[in-house]
Amino acid sequence: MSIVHVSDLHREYQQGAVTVKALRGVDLTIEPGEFTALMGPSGSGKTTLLNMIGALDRPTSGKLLVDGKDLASLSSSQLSDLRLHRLGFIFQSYNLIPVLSALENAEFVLQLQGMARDERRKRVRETLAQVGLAGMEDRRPGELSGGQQQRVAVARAIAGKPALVLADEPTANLDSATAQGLIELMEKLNHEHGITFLFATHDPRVMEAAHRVVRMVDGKVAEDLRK
Amino acid sequence: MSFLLTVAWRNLWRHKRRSLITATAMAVGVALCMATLAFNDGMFEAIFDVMIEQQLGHVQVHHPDYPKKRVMNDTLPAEILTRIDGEPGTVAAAPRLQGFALLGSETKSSGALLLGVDPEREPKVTPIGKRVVEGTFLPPGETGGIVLGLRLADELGVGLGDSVVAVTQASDGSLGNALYTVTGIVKTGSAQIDRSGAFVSVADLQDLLVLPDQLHNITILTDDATDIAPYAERLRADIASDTVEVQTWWEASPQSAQMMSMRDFSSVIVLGIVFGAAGLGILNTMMMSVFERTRELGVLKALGLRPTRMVGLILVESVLLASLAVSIGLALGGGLDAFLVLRGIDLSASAKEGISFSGVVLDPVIKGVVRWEGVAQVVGAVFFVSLASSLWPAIRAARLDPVESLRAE
Amino acid sequence: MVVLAMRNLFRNTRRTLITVLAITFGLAMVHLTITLQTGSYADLIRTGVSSMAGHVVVQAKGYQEEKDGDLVLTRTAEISQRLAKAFPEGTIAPRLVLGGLITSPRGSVGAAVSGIDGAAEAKLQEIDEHVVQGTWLTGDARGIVIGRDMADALQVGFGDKVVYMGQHGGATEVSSRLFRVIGIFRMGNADLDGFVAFVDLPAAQEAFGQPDVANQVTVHLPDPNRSPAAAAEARTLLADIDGIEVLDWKQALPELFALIEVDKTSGDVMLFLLGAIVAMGALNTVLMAALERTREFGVMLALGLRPQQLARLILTEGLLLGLMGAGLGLVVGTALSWPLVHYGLDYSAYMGDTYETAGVVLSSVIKGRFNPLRMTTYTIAATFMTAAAAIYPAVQVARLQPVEAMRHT
Ligand SMILES: Nc1ncnc2c1ncn2[C@@H]1O[C@H](COP(=O)(O)OP(=O)(O)OP(=O)(O)O)[C@@H](O)[C@H]1O
Ligand SMILES: [Mg+2]
Repeated sequence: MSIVHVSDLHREYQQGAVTVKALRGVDLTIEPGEFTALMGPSGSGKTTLLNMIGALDRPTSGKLLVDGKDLASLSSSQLSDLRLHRLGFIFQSYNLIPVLSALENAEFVLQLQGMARDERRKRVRETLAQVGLAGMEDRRPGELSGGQQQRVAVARAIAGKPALVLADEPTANLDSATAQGLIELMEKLNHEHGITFLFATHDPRVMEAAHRVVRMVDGKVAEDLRK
Repeated sequence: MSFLLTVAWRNLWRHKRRSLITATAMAVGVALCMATLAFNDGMFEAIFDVMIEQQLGHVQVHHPDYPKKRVMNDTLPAEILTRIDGEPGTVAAAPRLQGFALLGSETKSSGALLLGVDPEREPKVTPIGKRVVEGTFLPPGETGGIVLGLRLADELGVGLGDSVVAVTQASDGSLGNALYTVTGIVKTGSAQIDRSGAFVSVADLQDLLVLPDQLHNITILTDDATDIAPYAERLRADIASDTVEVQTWWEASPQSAQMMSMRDFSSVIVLGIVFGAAGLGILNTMMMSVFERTRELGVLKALGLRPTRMVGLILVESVLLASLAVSIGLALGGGLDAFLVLRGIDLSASAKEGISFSGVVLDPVIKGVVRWEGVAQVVGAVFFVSLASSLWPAIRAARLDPVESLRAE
Repeated sequence: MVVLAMRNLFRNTRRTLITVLAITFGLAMVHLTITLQTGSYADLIRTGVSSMAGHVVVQAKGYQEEKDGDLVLTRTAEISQRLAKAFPEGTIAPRLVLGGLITSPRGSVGAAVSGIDGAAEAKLQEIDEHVVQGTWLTGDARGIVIGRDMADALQVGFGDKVVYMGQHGGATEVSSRLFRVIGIFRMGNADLDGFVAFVDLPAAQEAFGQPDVANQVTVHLPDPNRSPAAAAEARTLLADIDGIEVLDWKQALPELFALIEVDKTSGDVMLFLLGAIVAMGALNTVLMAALERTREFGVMLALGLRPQQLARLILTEGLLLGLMGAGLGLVVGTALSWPLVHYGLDYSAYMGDTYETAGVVLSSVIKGRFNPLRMTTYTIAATFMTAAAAIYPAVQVARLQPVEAMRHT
């Protein structure tokens, strides 16, 4: 069963008198274990599509199945639960909770999932170790570098063992070497743990690492390349 | 929950100053309300003591016309007392007979209200025995004694052991007189009794007024002060008639009951004003707290925090703030209350006789009284106001569109 | 500067509005309280002074201390005449109060019988307007005006005879005097309606047993504030008469003025604390508005703005906030007070038609009265309190180091 199934997806934004057509009939299917990059010029609808798939925003029309569920039929609480249990997010600007330590940031998703404390702690420590942050568990976001913060965000996204991780330009704020490290980390997680990744990106290194590159133009899929 | 608690607690300390200022403002409100309530309750307690405990007891029995018209011949037969004694639930019952007389010492006289009481039963029903400031209350079993209100004794210029003559018109129209010896002086707090009241034994007054075995009223203390009505109902079924009326204290004196409801009315006003002002402060703080974190809350939502839990997060934050305020407030207010209860506000410099209100003379040192319900009301009000004023910010937070809020900044 | 400050305040319109609203609400409550206080004090003083004292009170030496009815002036007519000449604009009211017993063939009541000048008192008090049957005093030496409740207790009506009995002025015998009921009044106060009677002064003097006596001769002036000066004048005027004391209104009614003082003080404390609560809200707003602009201030400092200028900007913001809140508060407070001034606040559901405080019987419909002086004072005080709340944030901003401030997030 495919993890994402999108067909003829439209999303329009009303901006005053003008209607902005951000997505104009997107068709896309993603299978478990894929490592896919969405690319395309600025304004082509990458972020919009990720938001739809991430159940953060609702389409104007079209069909949208995530993890086998038709999102149109879910209530906002059910959407919350879907995000909580089945999806992971990595944002361009990290978006960690400033009052929580690295450990707590990665932990609270598990906490919301209702996992018992000891198991949770163990899992988070392992995850932080996987992303190379062993020993930095107690630092707050303000005390970490950008790359380290993004690693915490990755840990937060994968700690709950999601079916799909969505990442919107995860490397855009990072310097070249740090970005390379992060890409390798995500490749490793995909490879070793079978986590499905979907990126929106302009970064050629990400596209290089991707197994499949979907190119968007003007709110449509223009090209779908599998390597 | 523990996650919500952690995040809420740390958020509060993110703006230490702001949280502290908001909490302090509320705490001042709490202290202010506590002190006002203690002061009011002190005054009302004094009024309650005089109007109800001393004069009305729990249940009153009298001739239906007597309370309004005070006609001497509207009496009850004394044997009713034994029937009341036999009624289950009666703790004690005290008979009273009243009449006006001219009381005279050697050189002075004054109109007085003679209160004929049973020296043995009276102290069991009303706290009159504790109001004796000189001498003793009427000794049980004896006749010929009289206990005078403080100012009446002053006016007549008499003290313990002195004799006073009572002259009055008896029920048969004859002019009766009697000689009594002062055994005690009382200060009751009732302006009327202190100025013109005199207690004699009911037997003596029955003789003077020529009303043998007659009473004007019977004051009853029941075994459950909080549930008087059923007792009154039963007693009514047993003894009420055309000439015998049974009333609870609030039926007997609706005015007193209204005074007591004024206590609640004025507390509500004070609470309303203070927490109206404090509530807007919390509203502002919680608004700022939500708006400056739009992005952060959007992330929480994107990661799957349910809207209800989002509301919870904001409410927990405001409850924590309220708890902080309550702790500071209780400390401040407790101090003020302790001062009011132990020391009181001393007006004796300007009003040494005390201040009278609705016929009750308040002591010139007005002491506070702390009722736990009052404190609970204040604390409850803080939490209520905090929750109410953070509801709007909380709902806004829950409604945040994650996409929008992530685009923010 | 003002424009800049205004723009800054309205960057966060919601927060500024809530703060302004809090100040408005607090100040409106203050104005409401002041209006109510001013009205009830004015009423209390006016009624109290006219019924129980006067702006100048002449009485026998020691009467103020002892309130002994036997302490009388012996040259009442002469004193009254001299006062009338000295104060042509005033009303002269001599008073002689007798404590005794009023009896009828069917009952007796202890009473305070006031011997007065009926025509003069009619100008001063409202009691003549509350006569429900018959007339007010007419100068008839046998006429007596009694209260409704007393009439009930005596079972007498208009035209019936009653006998006053009393012992006064050191007499060894009880004397009595016959009166005819020419009027019955109803004030709605148990004390007045049940225990007070009015007769003409000469009749009271006869019952007292001495001619030309009175407890007090009182002078009532159109301008109450002249009281102390007028009392001093009267003191010199009557210096040749021995055994008298001359008091102004505050000396004559210390209890009343003490009560007002206490009420005013406690009101002020309460209002001050309310102000503090509101000011803390304003502090929070100005502080937050300043802190969130730290970065911006850093840039401004780097561009060469002086720290004092920044501080002044913040202070201006506070002042503007105060002005808006206080101005709106004045408007809202005045609007809310309007019905109080015109219709009054009706407490009769709680206290009956009238209530008694400090011996003065007042209507339960408490009418407010605008007090422009106090309202202005509080409006200005509130403005400055808010501006003062901006001092702390202003100092914080003036201390900023440009480089650090610009790094601030
Ligand atoms: N909330 C919105 N309201 C109005 N228009 C929007 C909104 N979100 C996106 N758009 C518009 O939709 C189109 C697609 O935007 P989107 O953010 O998906 O582009 P993108 O491919 O992610 O671009 P970039 O590479 O710059 O991030 C753009 O024209 C954008 O202006
Ligand atoms: Mg984008």
